[in-house]
Amino acid sequence: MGAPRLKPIHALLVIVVAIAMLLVWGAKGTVDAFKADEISQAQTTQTSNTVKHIRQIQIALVDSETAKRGFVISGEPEDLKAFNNGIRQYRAAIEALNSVLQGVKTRTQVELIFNVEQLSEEKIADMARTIDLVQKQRQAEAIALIMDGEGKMLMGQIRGNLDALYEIERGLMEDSMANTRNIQNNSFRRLIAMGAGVLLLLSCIIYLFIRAASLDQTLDLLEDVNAERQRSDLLSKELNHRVKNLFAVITSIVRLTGRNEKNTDIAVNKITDRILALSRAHSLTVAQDNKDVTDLETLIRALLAPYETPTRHYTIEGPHLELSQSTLTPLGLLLHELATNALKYGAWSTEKGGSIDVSWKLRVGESQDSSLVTLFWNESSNSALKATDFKESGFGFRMMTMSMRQLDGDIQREWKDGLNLTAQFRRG
Amino acid sequence: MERRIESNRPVPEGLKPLGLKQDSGLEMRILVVEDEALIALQLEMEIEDIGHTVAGTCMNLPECLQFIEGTEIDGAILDVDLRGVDVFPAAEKLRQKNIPFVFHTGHGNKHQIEERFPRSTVFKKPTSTDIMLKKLFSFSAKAQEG
Repeated sequence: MGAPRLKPIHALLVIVVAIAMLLVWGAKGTVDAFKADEISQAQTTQTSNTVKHIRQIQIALVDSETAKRGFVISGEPEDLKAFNNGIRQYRAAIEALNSVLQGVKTRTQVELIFNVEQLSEEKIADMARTIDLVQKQRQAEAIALIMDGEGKMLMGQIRGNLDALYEIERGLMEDSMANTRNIQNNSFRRLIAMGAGVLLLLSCIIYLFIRAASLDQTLDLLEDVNAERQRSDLLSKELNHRVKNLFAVITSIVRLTGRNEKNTDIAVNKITDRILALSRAHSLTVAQDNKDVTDLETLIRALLAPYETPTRHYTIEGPHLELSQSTLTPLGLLLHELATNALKYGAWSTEKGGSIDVSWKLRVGESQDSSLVTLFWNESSNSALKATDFKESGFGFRMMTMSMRQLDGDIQREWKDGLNLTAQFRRG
Repeated sequence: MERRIESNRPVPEGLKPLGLKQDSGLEMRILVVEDEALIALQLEMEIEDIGHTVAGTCMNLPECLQFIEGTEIDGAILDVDLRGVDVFPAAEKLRQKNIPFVFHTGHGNKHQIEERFPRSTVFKKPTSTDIMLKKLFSFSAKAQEG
């Protein structure tokens, strides 16, 4: 036998499990992609808010500086109001920035915001000192304070820290977007893999359908083969039976003939003739729908034809009558004995010869087995014959009687210009 | 029931008895059950040649059962398959009547049949009539001892 084969059902199970896993994996990819998108959107909102507040802080401080300088030059209370307004705006912005970054601040961001607050407070204090000097009418000192560059330096530092904060926030957003893109690409690949998996599953299903169909066909074929084999088994059994039976019959022919004929040459001839008759009878059978059949006329013709000469005639008359295989041996032997008897003692025994009229009637019974056949064998010799006949105890007569008994039949006869015999027997 | 053999019929060459008659000096009445005419005829003639009597020849089961019921016999040779009908009911009847019998069959299952009828023997066709008669005689002698 060949190598053990993977059973299709196991292969299918493996494929289904693999595809189920693939689907779960693909679904997870899609969920990840959605999550990444949400995170990215949150980051974008945070970044834009952060950037807005950074700008507001810068603008508020610049506005305050501008208002302070205007106040130094003009001393207008409007400028003082604008200055205070700028400071308020700054405080609101720094508070908003802290609020936006609440809980998400990195260490660097914390440090940068701390720096911005420190520096801004220093700057505000510096500006407040200038305002204070102006209010005390010490204009020259106020201008000197502006000119000393301290305020400008502080502003520069504040701007530097704010720029750093901006850069960090921008970096965070870019990272987040890159990450999202990655996850989305990954998710797309997973979707393609899922599609391929579904296609594979469909192929498997189609394959299984085709296989099931072909399996059905194979099963049908197997049934046919099985039925055919059973038929052929039966036939060979029947044939075996027949061959055994024929061997037994031939053994009997040899023993019986040998017993009744002391002359070896004659015995051999008789045995040969009887076996030939048996062979002729059985070779007539024609296979028909698993049933071997021949008919009575064919059988009679086959057994009488070998003896026909210009002076030895025979006629055959009767309805078509099919014979079953089991009647061939007894009928064949009966007809053979009748023919050889006619040659020896009866219508065919003299030079002038004579004729044998064979005819039959059929009385149909309920079944073929119960149908009765009456066979007439009427000899008419062209010369006067000695009133001779079978001996009652003679082998030939016993054989004919026994053969008819085998078919639940019997024989009546009388002698007049040859043998006039009536045999009744069951048809099958 | 026993009768001395009086037959002085000459026995044909090639069919010399195996000595049964001489050994026993008894003549048995044998029933032949066989559905093939020629085989039946051969059995009949050889039984007679050896010096026993053919009580009758049956070619089907009903005929056979009826015969066993109505006729006294000393032994039987049974073909197993009679036109597709098993001979076993006849064998049962013979067993009940304590009449010895042997089977003579072309295709019966020897082992199976002997298991069912342990006091019988199955002979494959063709078997010499003499051998079967000897066997029948030995069964008969045993039956009479017991």
